[in-house]
Amino acid sequence: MDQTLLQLVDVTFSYPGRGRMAPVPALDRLTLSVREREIVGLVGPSGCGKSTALKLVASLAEPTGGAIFVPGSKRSRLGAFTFMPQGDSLLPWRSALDNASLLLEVHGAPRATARRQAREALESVGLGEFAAQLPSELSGGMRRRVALVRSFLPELPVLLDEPFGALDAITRLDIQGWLLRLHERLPRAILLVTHDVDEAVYLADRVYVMSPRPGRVIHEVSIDLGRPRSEDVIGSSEFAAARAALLREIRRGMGREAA
Amino acid sequence: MIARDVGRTAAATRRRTGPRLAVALRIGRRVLLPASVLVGCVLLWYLLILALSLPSYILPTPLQVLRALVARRWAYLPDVWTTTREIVAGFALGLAVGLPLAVAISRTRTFRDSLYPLLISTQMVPLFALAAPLTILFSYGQMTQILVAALYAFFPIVVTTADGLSRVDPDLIVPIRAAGASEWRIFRSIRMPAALPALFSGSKLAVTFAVGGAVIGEWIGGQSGLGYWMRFQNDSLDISGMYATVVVLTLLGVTLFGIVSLAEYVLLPWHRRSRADLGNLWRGT
Repeated sequence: MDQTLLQLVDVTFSYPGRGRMAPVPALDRLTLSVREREIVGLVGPSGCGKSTALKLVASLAEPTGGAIFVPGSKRSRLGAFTFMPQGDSLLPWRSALDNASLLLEVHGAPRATARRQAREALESVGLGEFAAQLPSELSGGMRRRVALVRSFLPELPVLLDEPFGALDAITRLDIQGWLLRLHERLPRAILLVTHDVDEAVYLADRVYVMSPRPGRVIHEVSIDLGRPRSEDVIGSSEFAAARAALLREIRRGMGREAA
Repeated sequence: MIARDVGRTAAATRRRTGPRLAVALRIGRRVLLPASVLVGCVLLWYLLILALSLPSYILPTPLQVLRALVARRWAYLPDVWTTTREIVAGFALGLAVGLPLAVAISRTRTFRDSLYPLLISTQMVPLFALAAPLTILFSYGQMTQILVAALYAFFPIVVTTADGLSRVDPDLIVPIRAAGASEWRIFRSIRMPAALPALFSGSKLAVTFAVGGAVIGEWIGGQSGLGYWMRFQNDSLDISGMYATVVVLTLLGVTLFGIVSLAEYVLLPWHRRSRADLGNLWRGT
């Protein structure tokens, strides 16, 4: 049995109200776990608090209730995960290579070592020729790939917040397949927030469905499509069944039955 | 048959001249356009004199100014050197004072609330009023000119850099903050580089203002320099000469502005708006 790397137990969070307004509850007793090497999807309607949950895990905000356990790490949660927010967050003044090495440097690797590791990683996933380019010289899909390499280099669980939003459908499909291969090479645990049900089914081993705000987990689905996965699974009946089940649960959570 | 040959030749010619024509058009935009505006202004100047029959001790003709300029030509160099030194020193002092102030203002509310009103009010003091006491304080050195130039230069640097530092896209910071980076690390790796374009915008303003500051300092308390020379010419009613000195000063100011722009272009390759093209120098940030 793979070790649990992250566990949220009854995590509650409210945004402080403005002035005399009451606090706005965003998460309600959210409970979930992520194990080693596992890709876990977190789906739900917009505004259900998916992104907020990631921020809490990354220690960018503190929960108002409940607990977040990180069994593998003795340190505080800050620095125990890598977090890729929506958008790629590449630094425009650093080359692709220096962007990829950034988090290794922050984690204390000497610059030369970090750069060497980043170069090897970029080369191994077919981005070697782009190493010297500035982000402004890369396409949207390439920028995401560089940002993903940056997030995967430290040996830590990865938090991805809608990593492929704003990409066109074909690029999105390409980069999803590419992420699966990156994950085979650098098998990190991943907590993936997405509103795209197909994406969750294609990438994840398990998917949690969240209710509308204040978000809590209303259902958990195992995706038994096996690994390694290729684009072919998208046409399979197992894929269709998992997708239908997820949609049904999301609709039920929103108080609407499937049409 | 002949017609077809002619057509083919014409097409070939077009193919050959196409890119060259594009280059010519670009040069036209970058050189001829500003040049013709300049010529237009000079013409307007001439027309104004003719229309209002202004005497040359009020507004000399462009030709008189040009003659005065040519007559003195190399004699300007020592004064240009003096004024340049004052501007550069004033600018450097403005930068040295302005940068830490900008960082302080962007980092803490207390600093922002307590310093900003004071900084703004320094810009309301007419520097003419300050130059005289400064001259008495420092007697006739270059210190007055440098200080007045610095007083003009630091303000745009503080305002633009503080703005740049506090407007950093938070999404750029999130990944390294989540990785446990210290505030100093975040400042060094993200805030400061992200604020550099703003710092350069401020520097372009600052170097321009420093020209004015140095000249005011020289006009009031200098013994050399273009401002001193302008005052001398003004007092001796050599108005053509004074305008000629203004032309020299303008060239100096534009050159210094160009040097700051060039530094920005070379040091911030990621901030170049479009293709590598020196024409962008004059478009500002």
